[in-house]
Amino acid sequence: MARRSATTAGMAELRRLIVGEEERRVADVLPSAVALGAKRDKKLAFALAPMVADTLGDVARTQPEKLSDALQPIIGKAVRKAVAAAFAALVQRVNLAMEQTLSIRSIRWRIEAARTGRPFAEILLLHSMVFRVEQVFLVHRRTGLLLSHAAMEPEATRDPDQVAAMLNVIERFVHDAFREGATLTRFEVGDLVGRSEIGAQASITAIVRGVAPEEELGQLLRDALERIQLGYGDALREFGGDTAPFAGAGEVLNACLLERRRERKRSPLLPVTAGLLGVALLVLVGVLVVRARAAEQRFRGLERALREQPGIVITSAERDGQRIVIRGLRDPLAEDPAAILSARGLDPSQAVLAFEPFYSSDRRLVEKRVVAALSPPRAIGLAIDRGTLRIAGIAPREWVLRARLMAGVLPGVTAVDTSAVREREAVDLVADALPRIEGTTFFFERGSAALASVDDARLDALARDVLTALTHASAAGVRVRAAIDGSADALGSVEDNRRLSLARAEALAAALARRGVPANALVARVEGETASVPSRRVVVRVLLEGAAIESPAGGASW
Amino acid sequence: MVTRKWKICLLGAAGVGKTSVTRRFVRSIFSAEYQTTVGVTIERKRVQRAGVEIELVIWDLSGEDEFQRVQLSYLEGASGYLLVIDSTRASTLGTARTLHSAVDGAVGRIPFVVLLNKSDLAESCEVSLGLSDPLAGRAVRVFRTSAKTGAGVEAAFSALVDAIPLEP
Repeated sequence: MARRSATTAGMAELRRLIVGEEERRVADVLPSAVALGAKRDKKLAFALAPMVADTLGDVARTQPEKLSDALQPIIGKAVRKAVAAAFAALVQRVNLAMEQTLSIRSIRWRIEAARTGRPFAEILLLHSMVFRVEQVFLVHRRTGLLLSHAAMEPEATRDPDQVAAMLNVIERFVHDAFREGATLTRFEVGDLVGRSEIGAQASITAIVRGVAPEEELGQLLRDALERIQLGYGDALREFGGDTAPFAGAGEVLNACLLERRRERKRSPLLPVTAGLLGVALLVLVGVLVVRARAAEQRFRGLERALREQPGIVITSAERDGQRIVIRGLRDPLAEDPAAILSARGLDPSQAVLAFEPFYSSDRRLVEKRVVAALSPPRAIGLAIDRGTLRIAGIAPREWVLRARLMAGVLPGVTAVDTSAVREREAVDLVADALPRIEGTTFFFERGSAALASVDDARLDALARDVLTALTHASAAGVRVRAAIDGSADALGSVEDNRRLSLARAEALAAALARRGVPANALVARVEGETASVPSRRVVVRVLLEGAAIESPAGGASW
Repeated sequence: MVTRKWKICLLGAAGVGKTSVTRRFVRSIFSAEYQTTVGVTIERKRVQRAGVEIELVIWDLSGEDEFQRVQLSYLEGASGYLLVIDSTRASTLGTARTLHSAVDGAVGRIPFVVLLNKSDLAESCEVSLGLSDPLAGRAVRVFRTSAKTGAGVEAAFSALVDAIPLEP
């Protein structure tokens, strides 16, 4: 035991003597060597990266507190930055979408999307993109086998193994067909560009959509290839089909999947143009809405007016664009719907008016119908009261007879009342007779109540006139009686004079009765004693009841 | 889980039916026209061997004839190959022998199988390969195949895959 420990100590001493000086010298130059290496290229960084990563991993596992203490001051910042970036991306997407909403270009892209069957978002992306590295292939040069592959949309890529082999074929073809050392570093297929960096054992090929800056893309691929050759040099040289050692290369390839969007040039006029366009659009929409509403209102107004119109029944009213289609029933005497349309500023030629004829029982229409059928004279008044036609006024007898017959068969008339109708002829006869009757006077001898025989002719005439008036009074709408006022002179007692006056009046009434005048149409009265009236006489006065005879009633009184 | 990828070449004289044979079993995204432009088209087939998934990337090389030579650089990195002979044309055996020695010279001795194709036309069979034949002796096996019926093709691929060492 002691011997072994002595040996160990001895070995350490020996080691110190042999390499100690060397270690010190290396320690002296190491910092500057590291600095120089870092300045020259990234090889050192690539080489150190796995070690640094391992060390960090170890620290995280064994001394988490130490690591969290170290990270604490930057975690808040990092989170804020990530959130800000996410928001910025969101805002940019919204802006892009807004900007593309109105532009002519976006309409073109929408057409393109419809034509190609690709989603609009994809077309938008393609057009607003400067370039996008869509796929990266890491190919083993000697075998042409795919070692690793990365893609923006892995599901959309076609068999990368075959593509990789074909890339290798083409590379070999170019090499063999042209000259030793010739390499294919760039090719174009449609809107895709293939860009390769070719190393000793492996080649890396990026498939780029759009136009990537050559310098930037070349550097990106060279760095990636360098990193892979550094990390997988041995595995590449010894590759015999086992791709497992290259599992980590995917990360390097993923880092090459870059995308650069076009800086959106914001035209200062765009918001103004969009604004004006928007206003114009609003105005246009407004005008259309107002016009549509006005048209609708006109149409509804027309429908209402037609429905209110007597003798018109609407069964359907529709609007088919500019055309109006109205169907229903119309009394021949109702207003013409076309005229109602015109009155409301609508063009009847733009409308279909389909009305079936019918007889309306609306009072106003029945009145019209009656007037149209009967042509009443001016002195006739007509009224409809719950189906009963009441006719009033003066009309020729013939008209009255005809009206009585005809009115009963008119639609809407159930009964006819002509009790207030006066026949023109009767009225004329009565009117002719009455003035001759009124004021007819007969004189008597003093103290006598006997009519003088010389008066016989006048008595006959009076009786004829009274009879004529009585005969036609009913047809003329009046009741006629004759009052016979007897009087005496101032001589004698009052009582005697009264008796004498009455006797004289009765004597005339009897004389008229003898000539055929009904007694009940005659009223014998005492006029009394007055100085103003001539004495010893009787005066006939007409007692008229009912309508005035002298001045026939005015026009129809609807 | 694919753990191996091998490059396999398909060789033979023009018109022996290489493409017809393989297209029955493989999947290709490329048109056969590539053969006339760059001299090769790529196909792919996935096989299994003792629990190991193996991706075969098959380089179907254009047929060798008096106008077109197989580009030997295409053979580089191959793990094995199929040598196809038209059993009704004796001349294709000669081409196969030439190709075989060319491969030997270009990439060294790698496993290969021989396919005597068009075996369905037995009555016009002109080619037979005895065990004493040096080509048959070197091959993993000789298969009678038919592109028409597919007979023998799967077995030929399988034998070749079995002959390639999993660890290089």
